[in-house]
Amino acid sequence: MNRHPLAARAVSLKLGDKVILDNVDFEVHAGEVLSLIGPNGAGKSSLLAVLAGDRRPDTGSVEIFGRTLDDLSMKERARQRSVLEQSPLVGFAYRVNEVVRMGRTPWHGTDETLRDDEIVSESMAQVEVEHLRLRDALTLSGGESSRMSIARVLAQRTPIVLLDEPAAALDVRHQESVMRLARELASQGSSVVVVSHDLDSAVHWSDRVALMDQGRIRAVGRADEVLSGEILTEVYQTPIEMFQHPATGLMIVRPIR
Amino acid sequence: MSGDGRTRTAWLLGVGLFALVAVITLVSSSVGQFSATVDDVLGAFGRIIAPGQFATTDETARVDATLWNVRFPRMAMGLVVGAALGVAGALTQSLFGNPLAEPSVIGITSGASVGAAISIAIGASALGMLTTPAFAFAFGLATAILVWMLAQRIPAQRAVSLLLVGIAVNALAGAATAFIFMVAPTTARDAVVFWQLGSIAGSTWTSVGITAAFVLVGLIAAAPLIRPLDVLALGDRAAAHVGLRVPLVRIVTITVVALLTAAAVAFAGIIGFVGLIVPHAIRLIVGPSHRHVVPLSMLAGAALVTLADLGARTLVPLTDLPIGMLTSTLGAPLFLILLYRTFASNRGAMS
Repeated sequence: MNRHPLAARAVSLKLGDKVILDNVDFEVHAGEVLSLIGPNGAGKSSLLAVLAGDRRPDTGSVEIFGRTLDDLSMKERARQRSVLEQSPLVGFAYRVNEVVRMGRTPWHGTDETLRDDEIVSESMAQVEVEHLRLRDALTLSGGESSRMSIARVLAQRTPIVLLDEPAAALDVRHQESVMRLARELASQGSSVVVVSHDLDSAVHWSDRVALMDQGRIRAVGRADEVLSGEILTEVYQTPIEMFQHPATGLMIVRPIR
Repeated sequence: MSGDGRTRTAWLLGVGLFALVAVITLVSSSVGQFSATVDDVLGAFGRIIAPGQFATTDETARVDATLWNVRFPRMAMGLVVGAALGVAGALTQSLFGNPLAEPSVIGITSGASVGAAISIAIGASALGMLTTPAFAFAFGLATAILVWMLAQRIPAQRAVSLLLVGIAVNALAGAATAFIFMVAPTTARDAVVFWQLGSIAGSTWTSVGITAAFVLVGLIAAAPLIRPLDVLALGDRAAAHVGLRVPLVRIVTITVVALLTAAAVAFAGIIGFVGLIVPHAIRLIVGPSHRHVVPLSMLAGAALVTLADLGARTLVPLTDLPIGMLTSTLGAPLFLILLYRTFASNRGAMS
């Protein structure tokens, strides 16, 4: 049996009569950043919800290190994968460090808790929210709140990290630093799945991209191999170009205006 | 969470509240239609705890008897009911992620009271003295589950949908109670009305003991919820992502809330808004962590209800006011302030 950290096996999901995911089948390797891209309604967030275990697929299954999600308890899942949902909210005026510490929940009752303080501080430092540690989480700006939630996800210290639009509320500097962080996690061996609307950033920071279209995976692989202006133009239904930057040689993806 | 000062504040507040409860109890025990001195009260305790250390006369024996048979059960009931309501309020707010949620606002109290009213009206006694609290618990639990399910299904802002459900459930429970009142025998009617106004007058050691047993079970069951309820503040999905079994936490919390509310309602009637005022005030001072909010809400609830009872017995000479009337007078304006702040702030229904 194949032991990929995370795999979707023929996953299909319907909402009423509408097909949300249609026979999605792919794996995420250890030590890679995989970006899920695609237009609105393509099924990216639904796929992430299925991978996270929030939604059970109608058919097919999700496997974590070769075991199907159904066989794992909530705690076991939480020790394997962390999830950043879209626009996370905190009810009640917890402090930033308390919220980040909630990411340590799956490790309660193990020796890992001895490192809680250290890991919480480190996670806050990684997304530059350490100076906010005693701030009321309800008074943060959108970007600060988003970074706090990312710190909470980091504090969980899992081999699989699922991020749903982590950069959505962030300015360019923090967008870049979050993606750099995703790379760093991958270089330490984690599998990072990022749902993204920023094609250029996805192409640049990911090892592989999975392009979704109408509930299916249209293409998956290295961006320079599987993506092109033509396929993106077709899937997004707007003219998009993809070319090498003349000076840096990096791939650039942008709408044609 | 070292060095954030909140733990220290919580301890100071805890000690302060404990002292406050002791003072209120002592003062409250000594005033009323039968007036005793603080010395009498201390003596009444001393003669039980350390016989021989305090002078005993016919007069002190008479005073002691009155205190132990009438006043002290009432004090004890106030403490136990207040503790239950304070904790029930804190748990309800966390359960719904909503500072406006409170057992009496969202209808759990009136649901439980329908059960209690039925048992009083039909004179049910299958379980002896336990009958009324058992009825209250069953109806309270059913109502709590109903409220939760309905609130989930209304696709509006969470705070709004919960309050709307509360209005409907309270109206329904009011109608049910009115019906019970109409069909009850005349003698039972007075009992229902008097009980419904909310009062801890006429408490006996038996009723105190039964209430205390319910409350104790509820408080013990609340202890393991402390950490999960903190995590629940992340929202259901994120809480599940860090490994919380959200449905289990919810059902246990709902059951504990129903148990505590039923215990309070069964003999003391409807004492509203304690569960709203108390946890809110505590959270303002020590933050929302349940390891602080739950025990401090217990103490502050006990303080508030005993204080309200003191007011009930002394504000109007020679009249024992319904205690629920006083807590509602204090609580309803605060509820409006909270309501205003919830909807005035950009943070929406969650803040």
